[in-house]
Amino acid sequence: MGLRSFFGILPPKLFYKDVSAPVELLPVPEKITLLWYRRTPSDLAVGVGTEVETGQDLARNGRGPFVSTVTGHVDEVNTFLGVDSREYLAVQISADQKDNFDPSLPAVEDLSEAKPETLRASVNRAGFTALKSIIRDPRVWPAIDALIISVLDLDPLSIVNQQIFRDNTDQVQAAVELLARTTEASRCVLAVPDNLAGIASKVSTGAATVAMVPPVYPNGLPEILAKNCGAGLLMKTYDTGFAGNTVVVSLEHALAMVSSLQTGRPMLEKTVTFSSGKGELQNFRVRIGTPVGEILKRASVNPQPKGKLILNGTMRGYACFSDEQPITATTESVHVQEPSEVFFFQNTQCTNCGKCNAICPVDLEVNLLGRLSEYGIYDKCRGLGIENCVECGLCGYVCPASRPLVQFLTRAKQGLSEEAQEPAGMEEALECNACGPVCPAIRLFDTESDKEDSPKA
Amino acid sequence: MKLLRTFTKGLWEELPPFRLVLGLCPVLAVTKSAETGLGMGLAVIFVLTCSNVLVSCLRNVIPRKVRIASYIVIIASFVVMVELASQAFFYKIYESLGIFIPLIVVNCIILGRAEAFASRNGIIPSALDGLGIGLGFTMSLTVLGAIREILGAGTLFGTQVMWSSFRPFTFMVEAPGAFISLGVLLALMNAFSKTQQS
Amino acid sequence: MKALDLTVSPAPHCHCGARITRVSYNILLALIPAMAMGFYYYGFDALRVVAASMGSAMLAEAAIQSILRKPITIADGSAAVSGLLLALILPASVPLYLVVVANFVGIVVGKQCFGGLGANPLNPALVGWAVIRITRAWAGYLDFDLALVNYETGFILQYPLAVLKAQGSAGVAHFSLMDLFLGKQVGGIGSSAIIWLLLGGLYLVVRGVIRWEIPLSFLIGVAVIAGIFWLGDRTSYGSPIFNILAGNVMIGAFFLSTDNASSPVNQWGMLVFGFCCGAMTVVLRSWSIYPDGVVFACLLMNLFVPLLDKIKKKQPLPPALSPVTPPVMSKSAEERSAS
Ligand code: SF4
Ligand code: SF4
Repeated sequence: MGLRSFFGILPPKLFYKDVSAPVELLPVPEKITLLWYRRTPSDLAVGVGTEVETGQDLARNGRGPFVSTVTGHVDEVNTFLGVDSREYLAVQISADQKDNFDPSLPAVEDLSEAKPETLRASVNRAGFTALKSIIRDPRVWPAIDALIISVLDLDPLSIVNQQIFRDNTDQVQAAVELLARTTEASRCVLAVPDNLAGIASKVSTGAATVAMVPPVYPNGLPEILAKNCGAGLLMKTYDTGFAGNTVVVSLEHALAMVSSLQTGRPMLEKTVTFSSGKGELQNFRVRIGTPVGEILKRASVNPQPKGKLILNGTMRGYACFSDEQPITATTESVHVQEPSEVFFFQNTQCTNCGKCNAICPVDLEVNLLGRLSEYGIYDKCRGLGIENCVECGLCGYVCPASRPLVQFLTRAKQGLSEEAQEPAGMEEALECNACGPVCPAIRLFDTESDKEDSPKA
Repeated sequence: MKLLRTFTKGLWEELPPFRLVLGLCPVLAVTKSAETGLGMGLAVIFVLTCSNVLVSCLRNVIPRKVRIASYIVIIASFVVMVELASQAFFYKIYESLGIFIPLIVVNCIILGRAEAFASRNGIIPSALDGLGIGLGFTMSLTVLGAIREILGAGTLFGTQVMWSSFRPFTFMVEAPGAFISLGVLLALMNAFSKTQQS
Repeated sequence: MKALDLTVSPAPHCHCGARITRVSYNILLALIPAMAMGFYYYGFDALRVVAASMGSAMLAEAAIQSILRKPITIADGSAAVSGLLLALILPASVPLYLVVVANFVGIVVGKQCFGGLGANPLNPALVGWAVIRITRAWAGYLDFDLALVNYETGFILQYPLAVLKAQGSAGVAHFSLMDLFLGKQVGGIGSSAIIWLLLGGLYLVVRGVIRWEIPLSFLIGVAVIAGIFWLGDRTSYGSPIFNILAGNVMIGAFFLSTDNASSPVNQWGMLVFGFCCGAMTVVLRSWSIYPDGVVFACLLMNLFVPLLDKIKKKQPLPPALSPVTPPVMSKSAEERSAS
């Protein structure tokens, strides 16, 4: 990984890795941990000691699905602080080596004839939590304008989707067609990095178009894909509704969805790329819920004290504090940094070099935003379009003053959303009048005495 | 005691150009030398004291709505006196001050004191206030003028103070030199009062 | 749980390795050939000025920062760069106290008063130069014709731009453009070494230290406006090529106007900035009392930078939509599909 630029004349570019690494399947570990965001034990249908089967829905009726990926018995149920500092409900299961599949998840019979509603219901039951927002009923939600199946990866150091595309080229066509039918999107796009053009030309995708994307970070981020190949805005769901019109699914998820429609089995395994400062990239396929430590053990790399263990890539990912962090359905990569590679941002002054502005994929004025946020002037950030920041991390990556720009931007976003929730009437409280007694202008023409008519006694 | 404070506050706490940052236009323009600074300061002392006294006398007579106009008439009368007197007796200074003597009429300090102090206080405090503020103004102008004259011409009140081969730093008597030296003095004063407070 | 004692921090977790120090040291490196030419022609005198200038710039920065109790940042090299740039536009014979005064005013008033590196609205080296230039009593020291009369350099000891001003284009006919390009002309210690400045500047562009927009549009600005003047009156104004090769234009285009803090950050802003600098240079050369106008042109345009920064591309993404509430709440839809 590195920054290559055309003699400094064009803004520097961060290229995705163009390598192939065979996927190695790891055995099921003794213990796995399943995470469920923002839930409590009362949402579970199982308790400590319950025997579970692979594919069994652990959620209480109607709250799920929340699928077990192994066969075994529940060891522990507690809350877990995720790497993103959010609280999760964690279910720890002691796994048997052999899988007993839960028979209550039937395969869809006669796939080519099935109605979209049937397909959606089946995918929903299989518990694609990360994708749930897209598999919904178009009679209730407006249809998706564009569906993008992405062969690009999220991070320059991750080669998961690339590798899956190389290995499973023959399944791509069926997957694209089935997914287009399931989601009923008006337009379907397969986004392929330029370096895989040779393989892509062998795939005939029917109704879907193939978009060739330069393999430059951050072109693989869903927001940027939606902008460049889709209908403009990535779809996001909120408590109160949704915004956007484009949905991005990675190829791995798309294939898993198809196989779940065919076999009735939910997505049980996730491929992750392992990388460290030295050595080649490696791809591992593990059970969802496997602790990161298992991957480290297999790669025989031990994180040093004061080093970093990063999930989901160095640009947007999270640093873990322990190797028990489980792999989830959205984990793309594991990266280990030596203590000497760990970079510390500093709050030095911006030198106004403009490198951050030049590299920002959504053309924000990052130098200004950084300074505004540093001094807490959040409302001005909104006028500069801070909502468009996709937190790709590039501005912090290139800043010669080592300013923590992404952190500043995130703080401003958070400040803005907190402000929006603030009760009205704050302005009155802020009228402290401390400036009054020292202001020369007020002394000269103070408004109070102008109102009076008669001379002062 | 209170009267004494009324007088002394103009010498430090409310030292005109530095503390109030008012009336900067003449401050920047006439401090090319200590002499012109002093001359301007004396003119301002006279006008300020006299107008403060008169405004204070008339404070119950002047209607609020036309007060600014009335103050300007009062101030202008004294300014004309000063102008004629200096024309008669100190022609050199009159020449070098030029337009800035008539401009005392609209000097913010004088108008400001009339509005903020003289129109609300008795005659004696007003006189002391005018005297104090005027003295402070004179002091500041003389100091600023002296600094600029020494560096920019090598002289002080017209006599050579630097060594004979000194090539003067004439930048200081130009307009940018005025801004920079005013800023530096202001910064030093603020730094000094900060150490005083803590 | 096994304690691993790992470092935890938010993303991004890596950095491309660029540093402010590297920017400064690259600029110093790019200026070395031009400086060496100065040493070659003017000998020890040039060395003396360069040493005094860089030394006093760093001293000024360290002094003001220790007085203000700020961290001392002379190691980032930015003070050394402005000291060197100032020295390179001065004649070799200049008395050292001038250099010291210029650097102190430039660094203290022009830079640290505004908050140090990155916050200065004007290029500190140019502020220092302007201060001693407008000091009338010292003007003789900065007049190249008077100052450099005693040197044996092997080329015409006349400042081309002053000759142009006095005698019109007929007077400069005997300056060969090749000599000007090779740096065989009277001028500042480094600012006359045109070819070396060009090479140094191109090195900086290639390394990505400075962006190409400003130098290019600066040179275009000089050429276009000088061309207009020249076509209008060939007897009193120099040709565009002469204007580019004489005086401070090359150092101005690549080094003086590209100071990060005092130039715009967006592409169109930079192009306009550079063009206006070049245009202003020619206008000042033609109509002001000074033979060269690069420094004043750059200072003037520095003041427009906040305005030029407002020129930018349209936001390519539509503003984020506020969530639309679906006709039926998601909860009930979910429950329906689950049951
Ligand atoms: S993280 Fe920085 S570079 Fe990336 S989108 Fe946000 S502001 Fe732009
Ligand atoms: S990259 Fe860093 S130093 Fe350069 S403008 Fe952006 S914030 Fe400032």
